[in-house]
Amino acid sequence: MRDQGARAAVEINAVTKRFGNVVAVADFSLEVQRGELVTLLGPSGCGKTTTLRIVAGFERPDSGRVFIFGREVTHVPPERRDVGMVFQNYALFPHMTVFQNVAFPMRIAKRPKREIREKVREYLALVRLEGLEGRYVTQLSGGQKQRVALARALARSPKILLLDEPLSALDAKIRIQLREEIRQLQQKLGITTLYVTHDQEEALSISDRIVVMNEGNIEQVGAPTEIYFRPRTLFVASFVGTMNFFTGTAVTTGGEIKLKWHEVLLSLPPGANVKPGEAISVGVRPERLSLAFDGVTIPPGHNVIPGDVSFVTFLGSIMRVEVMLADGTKVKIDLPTKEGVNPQRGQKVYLCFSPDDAVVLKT
Amino acid sequence: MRRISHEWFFLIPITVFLGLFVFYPLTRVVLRSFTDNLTGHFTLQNYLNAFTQTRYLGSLKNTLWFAGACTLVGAVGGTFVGLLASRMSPKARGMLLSFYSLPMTLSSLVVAFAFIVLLGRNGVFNIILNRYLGLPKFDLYSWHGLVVTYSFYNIPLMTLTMASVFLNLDRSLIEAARNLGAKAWQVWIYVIIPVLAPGFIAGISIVLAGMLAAFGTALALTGMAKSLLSLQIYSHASESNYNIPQASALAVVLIVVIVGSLATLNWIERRLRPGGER
Amino acid sequence: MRRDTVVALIQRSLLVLLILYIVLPLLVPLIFSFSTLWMDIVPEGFTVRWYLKIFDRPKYYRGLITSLLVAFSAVAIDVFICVPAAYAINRLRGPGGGFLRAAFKIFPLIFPPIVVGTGFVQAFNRPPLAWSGSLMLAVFAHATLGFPFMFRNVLAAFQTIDERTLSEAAASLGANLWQRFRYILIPNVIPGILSGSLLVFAISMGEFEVTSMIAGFGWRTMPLLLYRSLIDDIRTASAISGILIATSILAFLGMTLISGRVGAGKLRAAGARE
Ligand SMILES: Nc1ncnc2c1ncn2[C@@H]1O[C@H](COP(=O)(O)OP(=O)(O)OP(=O)(O)O)[C@@H](O)[C@H]1O
Ligand SMILES: [Mg+2]
Repeated sequence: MRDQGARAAVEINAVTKRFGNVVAVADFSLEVQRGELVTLLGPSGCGKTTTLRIVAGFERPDSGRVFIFGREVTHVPPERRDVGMVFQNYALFPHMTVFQNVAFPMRIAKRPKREIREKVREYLALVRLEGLEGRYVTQLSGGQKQRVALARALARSPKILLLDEPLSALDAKIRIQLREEIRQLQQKLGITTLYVTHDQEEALSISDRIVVMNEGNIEQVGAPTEIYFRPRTLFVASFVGTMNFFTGTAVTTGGEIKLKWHEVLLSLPPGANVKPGEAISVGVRPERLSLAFDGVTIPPGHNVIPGDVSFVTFLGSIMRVEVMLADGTKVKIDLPTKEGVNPQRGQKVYLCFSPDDAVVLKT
Repeated sequence: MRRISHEWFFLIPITVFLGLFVFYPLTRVVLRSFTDNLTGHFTLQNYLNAFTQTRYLGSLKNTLWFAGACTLVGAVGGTFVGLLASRMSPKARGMLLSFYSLPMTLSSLVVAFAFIVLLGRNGVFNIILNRYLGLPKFDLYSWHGLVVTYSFYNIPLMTLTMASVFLNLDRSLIEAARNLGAKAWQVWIYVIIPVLAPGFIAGISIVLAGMLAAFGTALALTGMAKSLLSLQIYSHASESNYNIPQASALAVVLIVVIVGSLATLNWIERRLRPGGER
Repeated sequence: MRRDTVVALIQRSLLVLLILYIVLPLLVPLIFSFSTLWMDIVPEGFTVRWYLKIFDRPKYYRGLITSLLVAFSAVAIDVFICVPAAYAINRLRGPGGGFLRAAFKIFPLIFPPIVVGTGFVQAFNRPPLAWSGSLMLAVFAHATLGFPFMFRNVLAAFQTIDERTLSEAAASLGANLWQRFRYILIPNVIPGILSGSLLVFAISMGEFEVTSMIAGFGWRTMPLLLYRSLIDDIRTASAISGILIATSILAFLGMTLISGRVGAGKLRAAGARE
């Protein structure tokens, strides 16, 4: 056994898992630190669940190793891993009451009756379900079920908590409420957590770090702001949030490297590591774009592209404007709303953005 | 390191059981069917007998006719009752189907006895028929009698299948077809029959296979008077007319007939399926 | 009379007729078994004499005990082989699992009692399998005829509870294989096991075909006694029939009760979701 204190809570080391011809997880490596909440985010079928199930011990990797607090668990069966899991469809035991469900792991561990009773009460209080001990789980609402599932997973005092899309079966409002509660609970208990979701907003809002996955591979690992503002690949840029892309070739003009996009030359953010002749994309978030209705109000140093307003959606706090450019590209812009400012369909406008707000991505 | 998953260990009891009580006896049946009853040498005589001697040929023909008639009656009756059941209130349907599951476990001898009391020469029904209505008696011990008696198994069996088949027939499918401009007959050809066919065929497969091999009630009612393939096997395999190799050969023939019938039904079902092979 | 009333009346009487089709053939031997004389349409006198005879004469009550013994043993064997098998086959993914599930469905069709009997009479008469004529062989024969029914019920139970997820949840909470079965799986599939058991029990109690082919000299089951008495003692036959009919009815009442329980539980669950 290695030195426990120095090591990550979870270490996934070059894990690969195939199902027939499908490579569900490809050479996946990740370290999760103590007390961290790390989210696996990615489109359907990218291998999130499989990764989580490998950590839980339900799947054996074809190659690679898994460590939990320095102890190798690659071939340890799930019941001896000390890992709590919350399932998408709750997986509560239908023949048991709420109390019996939460008490189950302690009963299995042969804890004394009194201790079990106290602990169950404690955990139910933690997930705000006091008073429902005697109910059968079939008589609970979806949100209540997921709280029971959470209390049950925690009741074993696991070293690590795994959650596989725990909120996807709930409606929007409860989803937001419960995800905040999960985050607060996680921070309060300081429990190391791996969280799977395909909902980027959920990932951005609760994670310490996000792992963006695609087809079994890690695309990028980073803090939510980093993932959002500095995506490193086209996939991350387009999967997390909305991004407008301008794709072309890098050229040198006046000692400066710019992107030649059709007839327009776009300045790149300072420090962009691009060679002339390279095919690149420049990505800009809708809220980093602004509109000028004439040539005069354009802020200095901004990139400017002319176009026609093709669609306007009023959303209350913001207004989403779609602008069609000369080549037919549609660009989305989010404007803060102000009474009296109403771009009209067909109106000629200028798109503006600061080079600082753009990200450069190799294609 | 590849660990054998624990599921395989759970299959050990049933594998041992099936090996010992299904595959081993079946192998013995097949092997013995090729041996001579007296000398134990290899011979094809038993199969030759099965297809040349009139008693066996006749019994095979009887079996096919009898099973066919029973299946027909069961299919018509069961479809009718199943349709009615599907139209009933859930409570009435539950009650009806509970009663209709009863014959499934009933001893063939009990059914024989019941019909003797009810329809036998001096049965209640025949007394009414003959003494009070002046009609000829119903002959329970004829082929008709056997078909009627076995219908007590087959109609309920078919009813259980067809009731669930009719219940699963989605009304909105029919409505959608009508809405798309299909005429009544087109709805039948393109929607109803293809949807009903798999369940119906599955139902008559069970009835037909059962009837091809049935003999308990027939034995109790008519002894060996009605020559069925299964009764021929029974008489050779039990003490009365001991000839195990001949019984084995006839049993193999019976299995082949059953498998052939099931395969034919399966083939028909695939043709009826929309988009199935033409 | 209103038109709906007429329709309702027709429906009601149709239901009664359809139920009579099953009930009448079962009722008649029952009435017969409790009557002193039945020559005309209406039976005469009430007696339990024919039943008392069964409990008085060793030949008959031994037959009853033998039948019960064989039925309980066959059920026990089928539970023992089918519960693990259904668990495993429900878990098998891919074509292998599908093939096995289909095979178990058509197995009883292509391997009917007459073939089981023909196999059993010749397969178990030499050491080390010299079981001919033994009661044990009857037990195995009944277990062979009954296991598809047990298997079907238990497999359906495993399929409806989403066994895999429940097992994984229990494992993640520290339960080992034995504890998962003991605390999670068995309590959830017990309705299926009970239904299967009742079915196998009822089938075994009434089994005549194979039993008569492999019967030894030392024992008789109820259906074998019934077969004899059909020829020479129609009164005893009526009492044995009565017992066997009662067995079937009780088995089905039991199964209806079980499925009603399960159904009610589901209803409760569905109601709570709204
Ligand atoms: N048991 C299995 N057998 C065969 N293929 C599987 C199995 N489990 C997963 N896969 C395949 O592996 C790939 C990754 O699946 P996984 O369930 O990990 O995706 P996911 O990211 O969780 O997707 P989702 O968001 O839809 O849950 C998919 O292509 C899936 O079809
Ligand atoms: Mg998933």
